[in-house]
Amino acid sequence: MTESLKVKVDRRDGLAVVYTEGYINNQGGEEIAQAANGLIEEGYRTLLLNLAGSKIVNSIGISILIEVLERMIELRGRLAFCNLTPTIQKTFHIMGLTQYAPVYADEPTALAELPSHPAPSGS
Amino acid sequence: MTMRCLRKKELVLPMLPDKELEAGEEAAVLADEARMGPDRIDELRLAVQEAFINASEHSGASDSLVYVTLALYGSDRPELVQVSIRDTGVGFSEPSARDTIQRQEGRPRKRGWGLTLIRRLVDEVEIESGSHGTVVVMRKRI
Repeated sequence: MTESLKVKVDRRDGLAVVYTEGYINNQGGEEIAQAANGLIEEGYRTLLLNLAGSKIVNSIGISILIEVLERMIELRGRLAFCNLTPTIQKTFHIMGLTQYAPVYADEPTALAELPSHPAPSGS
Repeated sequence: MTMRCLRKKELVLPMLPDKELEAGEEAAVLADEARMGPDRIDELRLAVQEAFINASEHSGASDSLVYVTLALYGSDRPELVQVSIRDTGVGFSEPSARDTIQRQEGRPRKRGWGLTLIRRLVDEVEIESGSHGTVVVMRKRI
């Protein structure tokens, strides 16, 4: 049995970065969704998922990320990804995520290019 | 020149959470020994995981086991990795329909990507499914 996925959140000015470490399966996907939904409730409308610590995924985990993406689109927010392995990026492409969510090579590039939304009040 | 089996390994793994990682890792080790490139190894690993998950989640096999056969094929050197994932379940005909599950809130979760991913991640896929079970044979060139 693998250890469960670890999620860390870094709240920045106008966006939040979610760092993952571990296998993005159904449980891992739910952990990410829980963190993302919490940030959305706080008012964040731009989320960056940094997957540098996740080298292995499966289609169930990614299908949960699609649900997070759908929620962000409904809210006119933005979900972006960075630090994907080539296979994870290919998988995202096959499953259609890259059509709606930008993918950046690394975090500095993502932070430079992502549109800034107003920071939630009280953050 | 005709290819022959250069090496073969068989595993029987229980249908338990995360056991797909073990099957994927075995395939990755074999592909690495055959000098497959790292990105292609990752693709093979994911395809094997997906086939294993499909067997675990949908076969309904009474023995709750997945039979994994890994093989290297080539003439004088390895040219191809072949991985077979077999179960003794009830078979399937409509993977997209069977893969739809309900979320707790009642909204259907979008599933059914396993076979699509497998077909895109390896070079050849053969699927045989019937009342005695399903076997998914995946081949990826070195």
